[in-house]
Amino acid sequence: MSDKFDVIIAGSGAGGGMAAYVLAKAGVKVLMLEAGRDYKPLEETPMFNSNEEAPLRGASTPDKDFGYYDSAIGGWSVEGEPYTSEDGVDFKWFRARMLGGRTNHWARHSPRFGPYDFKGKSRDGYGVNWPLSYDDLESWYTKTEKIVGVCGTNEGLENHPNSPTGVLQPPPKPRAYELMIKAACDDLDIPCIPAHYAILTRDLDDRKACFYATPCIRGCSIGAAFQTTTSLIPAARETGNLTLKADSTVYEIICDDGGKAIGVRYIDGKTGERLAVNAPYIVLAASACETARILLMSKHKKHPNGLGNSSNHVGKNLMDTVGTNISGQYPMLENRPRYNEEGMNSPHMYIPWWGYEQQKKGELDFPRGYHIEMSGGWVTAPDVGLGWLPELNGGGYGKKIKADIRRYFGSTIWMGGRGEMLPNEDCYCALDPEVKDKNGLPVLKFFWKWSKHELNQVAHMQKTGRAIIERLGGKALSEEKPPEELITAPGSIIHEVGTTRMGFTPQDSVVNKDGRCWDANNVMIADGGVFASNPHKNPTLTIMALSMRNSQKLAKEIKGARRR
Amino acid sequence: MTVVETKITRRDTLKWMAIATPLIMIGACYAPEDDEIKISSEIPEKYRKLVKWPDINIPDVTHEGYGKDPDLILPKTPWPLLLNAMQLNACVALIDLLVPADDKGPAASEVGVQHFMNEWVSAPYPSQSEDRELIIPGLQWLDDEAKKRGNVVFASLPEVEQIAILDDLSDGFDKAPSVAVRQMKPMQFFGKMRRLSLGGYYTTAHGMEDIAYIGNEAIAGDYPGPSDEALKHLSEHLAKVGLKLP
Ligand SMILES: Cc1cc2nc3c(=O)[nH]c(=O)nc-3n(C[C@H](O)[C@H](O)[C@H](O)COP(=O)(O)OP(=O)(O)OC[C@H]3O[C@@H](n4cnc5c(N)ncnc54)[C@H](O)[C@@H]3O)c2cc1C
Ligand code: SF4
Repeated sequence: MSDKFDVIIAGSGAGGGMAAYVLAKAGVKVLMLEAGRDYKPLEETPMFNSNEEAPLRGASTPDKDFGYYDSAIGGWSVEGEPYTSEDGVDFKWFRARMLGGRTNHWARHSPRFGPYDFKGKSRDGYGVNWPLSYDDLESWYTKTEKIVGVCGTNEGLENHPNSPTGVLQPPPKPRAYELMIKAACDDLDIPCIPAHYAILTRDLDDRKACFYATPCIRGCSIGAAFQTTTSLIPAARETGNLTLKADSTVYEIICDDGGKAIGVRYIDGKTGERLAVNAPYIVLAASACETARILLMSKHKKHPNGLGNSSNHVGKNLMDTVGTNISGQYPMLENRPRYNEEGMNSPHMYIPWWGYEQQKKGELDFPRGYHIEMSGGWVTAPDVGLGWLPELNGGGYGKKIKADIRRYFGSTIWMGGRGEMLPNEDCYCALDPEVKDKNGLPVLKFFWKWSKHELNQVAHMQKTGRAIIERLGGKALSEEKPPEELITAPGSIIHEVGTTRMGFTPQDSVVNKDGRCWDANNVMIADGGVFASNPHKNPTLTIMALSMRNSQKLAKEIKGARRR
Repeated sequence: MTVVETKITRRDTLKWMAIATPLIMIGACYAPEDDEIKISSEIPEKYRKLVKWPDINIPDVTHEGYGKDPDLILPKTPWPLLLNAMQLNACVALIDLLVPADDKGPAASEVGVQHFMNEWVSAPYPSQSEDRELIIPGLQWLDDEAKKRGNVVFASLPEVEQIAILDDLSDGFDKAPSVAVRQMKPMQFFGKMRRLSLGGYYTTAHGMEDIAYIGNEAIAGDYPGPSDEALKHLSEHLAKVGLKLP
């Protein structure tokens, strides 16, 4: 490539998209290399397509894990790019190979972390503190929320920070079943409040407010549901400072003799050609595990364990979110008056963590919090999986089961516990010594073991969920079992973070508080790899706030160097 | 060591369906054991009398799926359909008994559920392949059982006799006198066909109308939330368990 670039960014998802936006807007020349294909939400989003039009009525298959219309290209498996897990470990790694990465189909739940979340170790002795505090990030959260567009309310709850007045867009009204759950929560002294979602309820720039009609997992061609491909990336392109190259898989950071990073090597996915490009700064945002893999593959005489890995922390401290499912069937939701319950397709209400006081008093056998998300009712059109419903009522066949479907459809609600996992030595990824991908590159191998903290937390989530179901006269749809059997598979909540964590010293971490590699100051990491802990609050808003903050610093540095 | 390639088991898919789309909450999974009907003391005479599960060749499906990056706007089903006229006949007769016409809508075959079934059992994916191994012999079994009882294929059997067969299957599956009965292939076939035909039916425009689903219509302005009627209904039901509408 003949152009001169100030920065190369690998990856165009949440972290990379935000970095490109900030840098390009600041007048920095950016080359973005994205492994997946170019993706055009305006042309490719099947917003109003019906299940009937899709193969298998849209049911999920190994090609399309969350159903035919899911916008993800990739999913639990990516063609030609396997990964491995240690025996007995069933790690799930969801990858999207497309412009915009997983922001095209994420669920868009976007809470801020709170002050406690950055200083967990000081509070309870577990894990490590972040080298940043909530105060350091507060203004960046606000700026991020303004650009992304987040709806929700300020409830002033402990460790659930408010946004400044006027930043959040108004949330949609609660649905009937959400009010039902809230009624039980009110009685059980559990909070249930509007959730923060990266979904517009008011127009923002040229993006339109949600029209409450289509599954957001398909993507949103009107731009209401945030994805970098309808917002940050087009805006960055408009500056003329962003050059975008899709189908380009970065696999190595090139270093000069002294070990200084000077560029990257990448593979052109269309031709298979191996290419290289140089720039004074490199931003890695290929998603936490993939970024760790690139660093581990970047071996050099000065970086024998891989670039940035003098601490041996690359790939370590891998965390996902603790998950468990609690579904219930509620007689009071049977045969109820129909109305449009679709809404913004995501939960309008959720249960935030409320047990801080109990934890402080030592009354709970797990140190960190969780929240509960919910869905069900008539949020989505009937799908091919509803045929089990008559089994709630003795089965049978004929007119009777048609009546059953009318009665029960919309009467089941799923609750998902989502908890904070603590980092532990048994959870990490490393290069597999044998298995290679289609390009001959070593693949990642995953290692995993839950600790008692996560299992105890799952037991508590189940207890909470079952208490709610019971209070409402509902029926739990799964049996009570030990938490080992009810915890979701590692990785499956798709919040993998921590593999290149930030810290206070080069010995205990991979990057500093600005996301720069201790071992290579001109390499910045802008994805969830940098998380020092994984609060139960979904990670992506924080990935973007950090990316924005650190990219702004980087832009200043680059422009300062130009002036000199 | 486990290598994750494109092979995902049916269990994984189900697990994820349960996580991702709560509406697809799957109750019990059918796990038929032997190909042979267990003739044991656990199985009452009534079920032991059913004809033997046919040992027929199930066509190998070598066709590719739609791939990781199909056209989402104009979807196409790339695999060839497997069911022959005989099998489709039996299928139509069965799904119309499972999902007959009533005052709210037509019978399953009138909205083409048999074509959905055909597409389903012909698909190259693991979950559908498992279903194929149950459904293709199952359709044959229906004809075998019908011939035993009335000397004609299932579709030509008088309705009372068709219903007699279905009652046996439904009793064996739903009232499950024992696990062994429920796990018999014909019962599993019945349970599977019921789930699939309802799934196929209620995903059609007719089915959605029948179920009175409201949605997929763009709303200008704010989301209106539940209707007054819906709130009143909820409030009354909450009151019955001593709770207040928030
Ligand atoms: C179904 C689903 C629901 C989710 N729901 C939520 C939610 O509600 N809230 C929340 O906070 N998070 C949610 N997430 C997680 C969220 O999507 C991720 O946290 C977020 O996208 C991570 O951003 P990222 O930039 O690190 O990675 P990604 O968005 O995955 O982007 C990484 C990009 O890098 C590219 N890439 C990979 N390797 C290379 C390489 N070697 N060279 C060049 N490019 C490369 C990829 O193709 C991809 O485009 C969800 C995810 C999924 C799949
Ligand atoms: S529900 Fe709203 S935000 Fe979601 S895809 Fe539809 S219009 Fe977009």
